[in-house]
Amino acid sequence: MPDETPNEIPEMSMTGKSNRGVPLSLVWLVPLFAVGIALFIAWQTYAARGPVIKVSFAEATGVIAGQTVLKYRSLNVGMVEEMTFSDDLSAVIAHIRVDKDIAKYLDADTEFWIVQPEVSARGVSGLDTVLSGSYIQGSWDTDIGTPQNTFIGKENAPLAPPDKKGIVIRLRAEQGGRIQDGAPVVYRGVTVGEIDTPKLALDGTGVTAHAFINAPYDKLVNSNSRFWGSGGFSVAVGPSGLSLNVANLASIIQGGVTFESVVTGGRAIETGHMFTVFTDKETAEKSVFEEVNVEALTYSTIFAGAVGGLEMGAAVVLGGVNVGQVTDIGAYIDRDNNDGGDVMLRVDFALQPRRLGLENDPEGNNLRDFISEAIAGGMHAQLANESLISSALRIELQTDPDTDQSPGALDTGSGPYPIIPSLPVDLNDLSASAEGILDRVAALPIEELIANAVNIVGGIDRLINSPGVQNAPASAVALMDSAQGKVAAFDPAPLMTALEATAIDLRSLVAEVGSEDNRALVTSSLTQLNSLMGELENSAKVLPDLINSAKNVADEAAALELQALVDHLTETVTAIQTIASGPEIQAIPGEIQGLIADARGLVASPAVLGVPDQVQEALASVQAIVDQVQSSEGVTALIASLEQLEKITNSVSATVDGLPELRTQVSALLDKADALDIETLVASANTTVASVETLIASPETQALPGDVRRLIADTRVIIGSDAVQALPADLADTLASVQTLLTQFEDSKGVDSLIAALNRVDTISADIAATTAGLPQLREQVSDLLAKVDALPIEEVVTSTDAVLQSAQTLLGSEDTAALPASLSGALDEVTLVLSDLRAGGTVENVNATLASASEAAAALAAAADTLPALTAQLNGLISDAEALMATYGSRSPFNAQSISALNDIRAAARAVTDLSRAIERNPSSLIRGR
Amino acid sequence: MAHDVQVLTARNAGLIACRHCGSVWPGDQTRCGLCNSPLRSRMPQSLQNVWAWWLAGVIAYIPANLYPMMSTNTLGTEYASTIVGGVIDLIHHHAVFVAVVVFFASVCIPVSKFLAIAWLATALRRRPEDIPTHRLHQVHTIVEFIGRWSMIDVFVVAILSALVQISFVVTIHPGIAAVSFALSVGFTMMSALSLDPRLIYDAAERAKNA
Repeated sequence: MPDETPNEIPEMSMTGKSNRGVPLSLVWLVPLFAVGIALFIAWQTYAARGPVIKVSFAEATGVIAGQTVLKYRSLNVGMVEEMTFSDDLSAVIAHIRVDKDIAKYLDADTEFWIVQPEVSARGVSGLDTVLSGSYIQGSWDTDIGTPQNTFIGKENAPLAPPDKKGIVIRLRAEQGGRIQDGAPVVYRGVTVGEIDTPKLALDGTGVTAHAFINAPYDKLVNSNSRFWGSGGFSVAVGPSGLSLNVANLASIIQGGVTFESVVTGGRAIETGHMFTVFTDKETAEKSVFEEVNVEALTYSTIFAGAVGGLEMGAAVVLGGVNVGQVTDIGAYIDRDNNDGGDVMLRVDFALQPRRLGLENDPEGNNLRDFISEAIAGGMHAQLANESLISSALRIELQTDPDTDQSPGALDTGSGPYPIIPSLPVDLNDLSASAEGILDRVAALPIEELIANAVNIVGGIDRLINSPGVQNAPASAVALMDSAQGKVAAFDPAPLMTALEATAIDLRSLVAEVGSEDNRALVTSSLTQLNSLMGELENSAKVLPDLINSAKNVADEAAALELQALVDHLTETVTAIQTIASGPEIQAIPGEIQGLIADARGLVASPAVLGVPDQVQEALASVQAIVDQVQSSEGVTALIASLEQLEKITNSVSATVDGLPELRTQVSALLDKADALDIETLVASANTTVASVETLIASPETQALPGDVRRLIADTRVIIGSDAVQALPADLADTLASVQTLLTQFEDSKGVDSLIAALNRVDTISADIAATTAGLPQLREQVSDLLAKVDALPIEEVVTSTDAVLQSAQTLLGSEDTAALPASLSGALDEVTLVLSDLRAGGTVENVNATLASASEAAAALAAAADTLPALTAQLNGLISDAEALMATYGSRSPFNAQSISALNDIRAAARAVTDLSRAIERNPSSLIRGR
Repeated sequence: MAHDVQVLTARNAGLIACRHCGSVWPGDQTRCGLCNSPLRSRMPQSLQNVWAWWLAGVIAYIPANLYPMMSTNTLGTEYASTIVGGVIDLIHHHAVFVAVVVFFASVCIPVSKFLAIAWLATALRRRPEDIPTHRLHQVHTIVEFIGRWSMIDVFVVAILSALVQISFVVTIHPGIAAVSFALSVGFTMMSALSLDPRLIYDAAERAKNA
């Protein structure tokens, strides 16, 4: 277009020309703005960017560049940017970009370690790293030091991170069993610290480990602290039975140490102080007194005469407490002595102030003051035996008030050490005492004693040689067999239960007997008795009247014609004397003597000698029964009886109340008797006596002594017979049977029966009480009776009595009476027959059988005891199993391995989820299409 | 060939076309009688605007490639990848087709757009004689057409960020690159729009006159 000129169209001139004429577009602000933002961000990023530090690790377990973070107090403060090897390939180096505001704290105290999941006996730690992966944990103090760029990472989490307050100590033990990695340090049951990984000492003589005590408990550790291994099982069998102590689970698996400050006054310790771990608490506490203490002060003392038995290291004792030890012993000859020189023994010993409970001070002034005061108070040093049986010596510092030694003085000038005054060596006390004892023993009347003993032994010998005793062992054996059988079948459990129940019953019974009610009962009974006595006293006051009446009666009697009666009696006696003086009667004593001799022989027989023992055993059985009764309801019945007794007493008391009246009636009765016609009666009696005389004088009666003599002879024959001789043995057997019976009775319901009987007694007492309740009534009836008697025609009675006496006379004179002696003889024959029957017996076999059963019982008991070792073995096996079980929870154990593999599985699962999410991320349509 | 064709432009005909409604008015009219928009025969600062938007797009494209496009948090594990890093990861996971699509949409298209716009703007300024006019038109059309497809990566990130929010197991957050990339695409679209196609006629005229 040639005609086209810029001037044709004004707009063309603007646009057609070059753009230089056009003003700048506002759009240019957009790229400027973008560049500005970019520059700002770049500057800000650069300004905020911290330095890169290099941390070297032995292994980069789980550390991934660009992902693994550095954490401080669980907050991200950096990121691993790169992982490289060190030049010699001995380590991997993590290049960590740390935050700028943190970088200044990273000085020489900084520590890094890799946190991984860990399963141990104390629990699971680092579980969050299972899913998120490992991270690097940093720890540093809050002081700003010289920043550092290169660090060496720890293999494990450090025991004492720089930001943790506390103190690090070192532990040394002979065995590493109790000090394990991570094991707790326990103070009074509270975990106050932790043990680091133990290491063998370089010389192989022990195990050392660092331990960290957390603040504020680090103040509990001082130079006097003692450590000992804690935890685990401890089984002890002692007088109190089997005791099994089990510590907490972590202690069982991991061990751990416990510490205590055994004595006060320890110094503060510095980091790294070495402590010895003892096997147990006792050893640890004892060690305090065995250590060589540098604070000890040395003293001397001098003994006259060389004494063997004192050695270096021997104890110095004050008041029974070990306060020091002998450090040096030297003998020298005291040439100043006028005797030309005695051997003197100088002993140096170190005293430790803290064992005397004194405050520690560098100069030891406290101890010096203490010793000076003690010496002024009479303290001396003395040699003494270590023990009764040992010849070793020790030094005792003692202040004996009984000694006549005046207080000595501390000699500070004559030796290298102050010299404590000593008492003379006096070690012969014991032998002197022993000698005195021997003298007294020698003065004893041993000969007489022996003679008596010989006699006793002879008697015992005879007794033992008797057949009964000879048979006893066999019977005892059989008894043991029987007991064995019993015991074998014996189940102790019910017995124990019964015993326990019995004890409870007994206690409640005693409480019941001692209760208020019963005491009140006794008290009231006593009160009644008291009043009864008062009544009786009142009655006694009127007795003189009664006596007067009786006296009147006697006067009347004295006036009777008694002389004739006496004469008759005299004749009768004479006749009896005649009979007695007869040859038959004279022969009776001989017979009786022989009888007694036979009886003595019988009694002296061995069988009888065995009887007392039997009786004693029987008594033991009875005693057992009584015990049962006592522990049963018998006492209750007794109390009931007491109550009844009280009622009876009341009744009697009421009866006594009426006694004066009765007395009056009796008095009246006596008055009537006084008025009786006794004379006639006496005459009849006289006649009767005469008849008796006639009877005695009769030939039949004369023959009676002969019969008696024959009877005695027969008896003697019976006693002398083998049957009667065998009777004691049978009696012994019978007693044994009785004993058995008593035992059975004891075992059986006998006691219950007895209790029932006591209850019956109680009932009877109640009946009696009811009866006595009727006593006043009875008394009235008696009174009535007496009144009736009073009203009776006594004369007729006397007449009747007279008639009776006459009849008796007739009877005595009859032939039947004469035949009576013959009948008596026949009866004696019957007795003889009965005695011969008594020989029958056969219970010995039964006793033997019983003894055999007891023996079997004992054997069964022995067999039961044999199973005890097996039981102990089983218990041992059980504990072994428990230990094996605990061992399976160790660090290299299958449990741990399985836990770690489980964690690995979880990690794998997490990775799978990660892969899934990435797949979704890259292929979003799969979410929609379901593929 | 093209420069042999006689082209009558509106300006040569003394007319002026409205860019909004397409109506043609006399050359001295300043405002469109239909839509009342200002009438210009040529956009006065067209090339300036093109270069300004282009520059902003290039600047925004740099962080879009340096910073992660999106970050995936899977069970506490943070994983972030850039555009190219993601493409490489996809190839490692044998998702070659997806990798090619992502690479084409996120790298090839934006870069070729930058190149195409720059070439167009330079060609209009230099008045090259041997470039056919319709070739310039073709390039302009293609740039405008494919501009919208450059946002495919941004759409992926937006959809995933909205869908995958399974709180603890896996969450996806857009990265700095997503914003930068979106800005870059927007800037290049603005750049393409700022190019007044009528300048091509002028270029053709100048070439012819020369």
